[in-house]
Amino acid sequence: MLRFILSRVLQAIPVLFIIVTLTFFMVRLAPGGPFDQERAMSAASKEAINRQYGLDKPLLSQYTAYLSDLLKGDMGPSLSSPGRQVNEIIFSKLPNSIQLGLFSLAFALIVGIPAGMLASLKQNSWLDYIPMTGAMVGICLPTFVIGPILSTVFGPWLGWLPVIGWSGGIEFKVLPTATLGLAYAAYVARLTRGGMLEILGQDFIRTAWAKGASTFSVVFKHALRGGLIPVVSFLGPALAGLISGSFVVETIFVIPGLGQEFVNSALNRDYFLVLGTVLFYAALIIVMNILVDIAVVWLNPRSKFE
Amino acid sequence: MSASSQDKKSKTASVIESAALAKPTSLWQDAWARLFKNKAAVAGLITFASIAIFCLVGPFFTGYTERKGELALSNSAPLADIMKEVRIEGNRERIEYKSIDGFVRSSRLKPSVDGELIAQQVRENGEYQSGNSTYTLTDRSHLFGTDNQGRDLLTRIMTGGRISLMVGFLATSVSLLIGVFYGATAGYIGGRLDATMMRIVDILYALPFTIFVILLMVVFGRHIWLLFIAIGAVEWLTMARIVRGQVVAIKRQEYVEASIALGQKSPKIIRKHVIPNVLGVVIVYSTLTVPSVIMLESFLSFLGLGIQPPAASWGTLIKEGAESMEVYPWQLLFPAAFFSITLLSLNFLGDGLRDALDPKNSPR
Repeated sequence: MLRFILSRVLQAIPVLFIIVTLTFFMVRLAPGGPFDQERAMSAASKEAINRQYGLDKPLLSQYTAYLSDLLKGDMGPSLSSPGRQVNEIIFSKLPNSIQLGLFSLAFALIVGIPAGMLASLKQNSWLDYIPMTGAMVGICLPTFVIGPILSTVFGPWLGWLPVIGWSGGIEFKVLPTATLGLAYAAYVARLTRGGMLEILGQDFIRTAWAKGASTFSVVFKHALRGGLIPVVSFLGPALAGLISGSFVVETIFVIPGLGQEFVNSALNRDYFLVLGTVLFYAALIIVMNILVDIAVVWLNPRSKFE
Repeated sequence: MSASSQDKKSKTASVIESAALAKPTSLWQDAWARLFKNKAAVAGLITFASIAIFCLVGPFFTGYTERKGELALSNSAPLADIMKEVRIEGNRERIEYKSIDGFVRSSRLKPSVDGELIAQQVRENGEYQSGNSTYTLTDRSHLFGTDNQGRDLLTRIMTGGRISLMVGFLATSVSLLIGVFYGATAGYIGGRLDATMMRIVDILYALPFTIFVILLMVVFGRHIWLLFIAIGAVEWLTMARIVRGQVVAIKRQEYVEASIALGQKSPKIIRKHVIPNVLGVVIVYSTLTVPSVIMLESFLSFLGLGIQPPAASWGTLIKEGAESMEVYPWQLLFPAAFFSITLLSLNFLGDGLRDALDPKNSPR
């Protein structure tokens, strides 16, 4: 177990290194620079500002300088908002994005798992068809379709919920959470149904029924643990999807989060902020994938850590 | 899952081969029969085909072009009445098309024009004269209304659909080409090469790819060819894994060993056993890749990073519609409906094909 975790963590290091290198050279070799917008700037002051941020040195030595700063935990200064550090920006925007992600994930699991379980227990009845058709429809309504519809209907039209912002009461969280979580609730329902059907068809479940166990005990004590394996393995890709979904949701509901910061920093050629956010997202996804791998092995007694 | 389903596959394959003596039906005939029994899949196929034909042929018949609109007709509602205003200014005639509702709304700001009266008269008599202007009711109409530049929304949805579907199919082809070649090479040659190639895929899987696609689009300009390449480069990974897994599994099947033992030559084994088995999963996975590519393209277009104006895809139409949903809901609802119904039908078709090509579900 410990060896497994250690080896996965060690594997993550070269992956992160590749990501940093790829992103670094991609944004640096791109046309355009961070100070292009400020047209009034003279050539001399542009040079001065480049020197201040060390952008006048050869690219390779900038790269090594960035890596050595990174190892000390310093992600460099932000180029588009002078005087601020990338670390500071990421950690000030992070709480909103994390909350949005966690709320949506919780929404997806709370809606999706019971729907999928119900469908698997009543296979080929209307309790199966209706949630599963609903799930298919939900998958085909991505954030950028459902978001504007929900925000208009419950905001200006009905006047029930606020549609701008995040911090504040629970009423601010409802629409963004539902928008981001809906498609994932649909995926989770389908995966739960599939996983449960596979488990419910196995011999040990027949044994459990045969010895007279109640439906409750068969489902919750025996089947659920194995039936949720597909859902747990989905959590890794789901996190990646939630991150990209958050770009859209943060735009629609004007939430000051990390997603908006990433898109804007890429547009502004804010080199260090782009690198910082990409690296942060990548680390998040990698950590999540390791946790998911551990959870899958723990849930499935037949698989072993390797 | 793979081991047990392949067990069943090999069993069924042998059942099919023995049954072939009695009644020769091929794997594909079986699959077609199963596909046509699946109502959701057939509905998906018909719906998708109609939408594709609608988008390809439709723009020739609407009578409008997607790029040129009439500003006076901007934001007119679906099927709104449209009148022609001929105004005499000095010795010149000015002709303008206006939606009656829009005219009434804007006339409220001008006390000199009694918009309500003109609208009522034009609707009743088909014609009305007031001051220097003659108003005539026309039979022009926009089934889905117009956008904020007075362009016919129906035509724009059709041409937008062409672009979305083209991106979907071309990017899927890119991923198909890379994925099949990569996966088949790894699976067929096997050994250390296989291990290395698949390790690379594992590492690439861990990269946050949507983020890289966004970076690519932001950084290297938003060219449509770059869009195909970026999306195709993301989607090939799963295809490579699936193809490789299938090739490895087929190599190990007893009936393949049997045909080797019978002295069958490699090309015939590839033609008879490997290609038909790989083709199935490739078709199924491609059908399911197209909607996810269309989704990714629209996602990028929604963020302003995909298709650039004046060209439009469903994603850009949804983006434009979302900005004015509160006042002109049809500008969002119609493109969104076409987009979602297309995805839905392709997903149903893909699921149906997967079930149909899975010999587990064989009638025998």
